[in-house]
Amino acid sequence: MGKANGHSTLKELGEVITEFQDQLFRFAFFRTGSFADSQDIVQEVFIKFYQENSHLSSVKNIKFYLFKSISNACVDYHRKTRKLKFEVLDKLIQTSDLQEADALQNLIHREEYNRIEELLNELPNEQSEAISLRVLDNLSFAEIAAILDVPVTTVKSRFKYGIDKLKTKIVNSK
Amino acid sequence: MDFNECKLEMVNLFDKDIDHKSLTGLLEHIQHCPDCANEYREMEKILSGLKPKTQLNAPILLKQNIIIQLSKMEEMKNSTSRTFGISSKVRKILSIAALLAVVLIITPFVVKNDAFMNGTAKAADIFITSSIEATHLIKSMIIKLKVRTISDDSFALVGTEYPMVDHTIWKSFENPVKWRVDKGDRVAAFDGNSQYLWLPKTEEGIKAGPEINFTEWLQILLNPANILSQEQKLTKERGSKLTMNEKNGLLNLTITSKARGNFINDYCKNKSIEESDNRREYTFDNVTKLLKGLKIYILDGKKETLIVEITSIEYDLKLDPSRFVINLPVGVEWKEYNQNFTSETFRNITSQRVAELFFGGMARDDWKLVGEACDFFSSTSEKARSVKNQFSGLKVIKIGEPFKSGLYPGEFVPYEIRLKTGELVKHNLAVRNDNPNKTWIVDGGY
Repeated sequence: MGKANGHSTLKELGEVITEFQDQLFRFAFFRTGSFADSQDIVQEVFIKFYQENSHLSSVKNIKFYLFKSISNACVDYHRKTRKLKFEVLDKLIQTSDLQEADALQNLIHREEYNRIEELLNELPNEQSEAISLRVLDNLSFAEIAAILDVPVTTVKSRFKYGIDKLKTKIVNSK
Repeated sequence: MDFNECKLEMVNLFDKDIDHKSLTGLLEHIQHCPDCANEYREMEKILSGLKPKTQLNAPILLKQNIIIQLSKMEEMKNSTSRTFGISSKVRKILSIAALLAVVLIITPFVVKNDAFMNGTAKAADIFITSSIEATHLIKSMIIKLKVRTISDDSFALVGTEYPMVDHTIWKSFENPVKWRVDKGDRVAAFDGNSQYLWLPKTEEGIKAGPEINFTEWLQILLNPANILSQEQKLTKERGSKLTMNEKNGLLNLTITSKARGNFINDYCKNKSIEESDNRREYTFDNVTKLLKGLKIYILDGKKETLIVEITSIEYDLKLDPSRFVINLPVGVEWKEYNQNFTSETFRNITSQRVAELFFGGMARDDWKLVGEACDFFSSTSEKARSVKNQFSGLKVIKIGEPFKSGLYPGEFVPYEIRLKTGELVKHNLAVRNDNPNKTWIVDGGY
């Protein structure tokens, strides 16, 4: 089942998948708004990751590698589909044959992510991205800096300015 | 740490990897500075509002999908590069074993007909394709099963009220393909050229070409490679549900389906598998990926009745060629299956009129007329004579309004007759005219 000559095995890949699949799936979902497309994106990234790396343990920072790959795949996804977040999901919810329980569960996820999306939409992209990577994807500032390819201090200031803007918005709306 | 430093560094309190020294310094300052404490609380409040209240996780089959896809890719790569030492049959089985080793991690899951479970459906597709490949390696099989039915009625008939009747299926997959299906009082066989249907109770022997389906529903078991692909198609229909799980070295595949057909009149409801709300539980061997068992339940509200159960399946046994030959008793000959119905009397009339003519003929001993609607009564066999004698001289009490039900292509005509013995018979005559001449024939129900 595994690769020959001491190469990484599917069992090793399975361990990596177990560790990161939930985080990566959420990450993709928040960027595509589609369950099915998020699943496909994560699946393809893991397959490519396995095929391109004969020794998984030799990959310097697996987490970074995977998040960066998903991020790139999501950018490609938007380029190809030209669909905005949640438009796809809205359509999916309306037209699919989901059974009642699943439909309800999906609706809850959609509403929750919609609510957060609305809040973050008020911010410049760079700030909303820093906040969502930290809060939704639970990445450290250093990890975010690596993915965005900017200094950690820049990530921190984007995060801080974003929070300040949200604070002002909430105060003004009261 | 002073106020200005804290303002600058406070963002670090919201990092995952804050170092101990910064953390201690910030917290100590906040404890003694109401302004910073207030700002910290406000930031925390905003961030907690941004956290999703529901946790979205990856679909349960995501990992399995990936592993299965990669297993298949590796297998394909290996099978083209490896040219020594191992037969294609063994190699195929090994690859299937490898796939199933992966499937071992399966927890019960459900494939539903929706876009959300797109990846799951893909996994089922991959699994099913592999299983189909495995069945192509079989040379022969013997299946023993029990079905709730009537021993001399059609192979499609089932009913919760009927007893379990033993069936045996023999099949040789080697060229030319041959098979035999036996339920005691109804036997069908194919010798590679022609199909034969033997009904010992009525001493009818019917011969037909390979295109005729004498085995009806049981045909699905004669072609195990088709089981999964047929089920795969069915699961894509609205309302069907497929679940798979692994237990004790067996892979269990369960499909739940709704009854198909028109049930304004529910006469045919639960009379065949397709016309029932049913659950089909297939069991496959984890190593060979071949079918090991099947149970079918009819679901009627909360009640479920086991209707079909495979009790054993054996593969690749040597089968005696004589198994595929049906020997008729002395005096009985094979009759060619007749689909060319030409009776003018039974054309351009209603189904109700068909019943009137049919029973009227019996009442008057006009067996030529009766035989035009039902070929059995044209026979001069001992059994045919006995059945004619039973109906001869009957009295028609009532012919009712015809109705359609289930998937039957014809109509049912309710009737009430009194036999010359005094016995009252109430039943529904099955008649159909779905042939090129649109001629009505009596299909059963007498």
